[in-house]
Amino acid sequence: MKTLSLENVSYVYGKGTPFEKEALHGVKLSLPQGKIIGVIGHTGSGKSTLLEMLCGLLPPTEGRVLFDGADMYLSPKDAALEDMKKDGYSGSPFILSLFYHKYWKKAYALRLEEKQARRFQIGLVMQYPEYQLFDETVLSDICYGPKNMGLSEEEAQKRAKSAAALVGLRPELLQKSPFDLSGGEKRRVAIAGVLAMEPDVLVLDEPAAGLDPQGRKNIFDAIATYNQTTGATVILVSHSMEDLAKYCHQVVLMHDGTVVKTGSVEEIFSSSLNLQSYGLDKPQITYIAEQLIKAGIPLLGDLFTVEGVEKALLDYIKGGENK
Amino acid sequence: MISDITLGQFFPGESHLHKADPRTKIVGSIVYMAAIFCAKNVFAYLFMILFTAMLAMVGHIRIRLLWKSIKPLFFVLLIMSMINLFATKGTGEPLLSFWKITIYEEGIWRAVLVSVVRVVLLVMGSSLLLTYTTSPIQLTDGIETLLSPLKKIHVPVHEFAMMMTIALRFIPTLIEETDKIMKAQKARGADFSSGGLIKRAKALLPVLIPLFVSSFQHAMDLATAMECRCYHGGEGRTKYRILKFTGVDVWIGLALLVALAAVIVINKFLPIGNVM
Repeated sequence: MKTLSLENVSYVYGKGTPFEKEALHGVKLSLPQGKIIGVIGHTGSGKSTLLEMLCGLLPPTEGRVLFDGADMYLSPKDAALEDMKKDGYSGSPFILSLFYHKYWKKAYALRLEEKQARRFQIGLVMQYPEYQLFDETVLSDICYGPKNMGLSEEEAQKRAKSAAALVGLRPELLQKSPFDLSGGEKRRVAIAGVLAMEPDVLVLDEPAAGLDPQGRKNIFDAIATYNQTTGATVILVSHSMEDLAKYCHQVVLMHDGTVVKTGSVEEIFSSSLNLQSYGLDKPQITYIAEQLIKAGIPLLGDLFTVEGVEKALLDYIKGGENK
Repeated sequence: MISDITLGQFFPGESHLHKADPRTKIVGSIVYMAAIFCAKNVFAYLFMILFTAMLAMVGHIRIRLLWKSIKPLFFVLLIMSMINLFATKGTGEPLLSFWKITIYEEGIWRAVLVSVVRVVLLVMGSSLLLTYTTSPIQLTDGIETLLSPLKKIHVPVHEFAMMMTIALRFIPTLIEETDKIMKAQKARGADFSSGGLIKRAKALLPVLIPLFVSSFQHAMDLATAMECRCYHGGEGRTKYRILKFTGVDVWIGLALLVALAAVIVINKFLPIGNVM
């Protein structure tokens, strides 16, 4: 499994124009592998920028993004210079650059190869991913990613079918046109298209936005299953604190382009942190639990999901009966 | 990158050029073009360069932005100046002559002034007066009012203006969408930058199809939204922003007319280094 981390990353949109806008500044973040990590933050806090950067689609203006210990955005020039230093050349970058043509070619080819390989190691599901569907049938659309990986037709179809089953697409839908499906089904097809590549890191930007409660649950369950069966790291943005509390192991809190806090669900949603000042809120059930505690009912355990509070309440009632 | 296109982009600001009426700027840019086409010698061109620099200063537009609008034209300019350089027949002795190529002094002047300076000034001036300092909405509003006399002969001026507004309005949206779709397909391993022409064209299909689908979706949504607001064409439609001439317009209009007059005067009384 591969680790992802960011070192002092900044990003400025439209640098040098009147529309210049800083989206990220000085972000330091290390993402534990094999976990489901939720990213929360107010609209415009830089979440989507952060995700694109993690996927190799947006080179940071400053800082480094490390994947598996290597700088994801290292330019061929810098890579060539590094190779030369390894071979014992020394001098200022300008002097070295006069001699590096041989190294540059090798570094350039290698960068391209790495870049393409990384696309399949890090899977990205963007916001409202249903617009990315294009092929004639659902099956061939899901196969697009695996085929780009260079897999055979049969292998691609096998993966596509299991990914479709994972997100709960009925087999008879696979031969339909993706444009004939409902919104929720399209979303699932798009997510299956990424899951079929079996990435080591799965990045999702609001995967359940605009879906009904059943659709939300299906998608989050599929993501959790994928995480459990493959041990892949999952990074997801969501505005539903309930879903995050239920599915995530870790939460990253962002505000105004920086990471304010990283921690477990308990650490983020406990009352010590004033989430409202970041334009966010705790799960609603937590408010009920807090009021119950205030009223003198000592609740223990997970107080951030409905199931957790239910269990705590049952424990309390049982405890009372035992006395 | 797609988002680096500045030609035809509006940069909001508070300068006098921004505040001027779009009609002044549209007619003004025609006067400006006329002045440039009238320019016959080096001094006239120099004068227009100074005048354009002044316009940029009045409009608070930085040189770098102007430069950006010229950059995509580089090859066109190069080819044009080459043609001018080699195809111009001069009256004096050729400066250089080898094989089938002869270069005259006039050719050099024409290559520099007529093809490079003139085109650069034309693009810069119209960008300054129109696209950089006038919002697309204002621009179409201006065109609509300027063309409104044509309504008398049943030209659907309002409909044309509305179509232009919508087209201009959707350029950034579609650029953004293309960018998004390309990113999504890249994340699925699409490769847009390698292989032959046919392979590359094929690689673009996964971008073009979703783009078409969403364009139609936008069109239908927009039609519904307009229907809901009882849109029924230009008849009896009032405006939120009514165009009004102010003092700024008088000054800008005067300045442009003076520039045109000055060019004509320079042509007449300084007939040195005529290139036309």
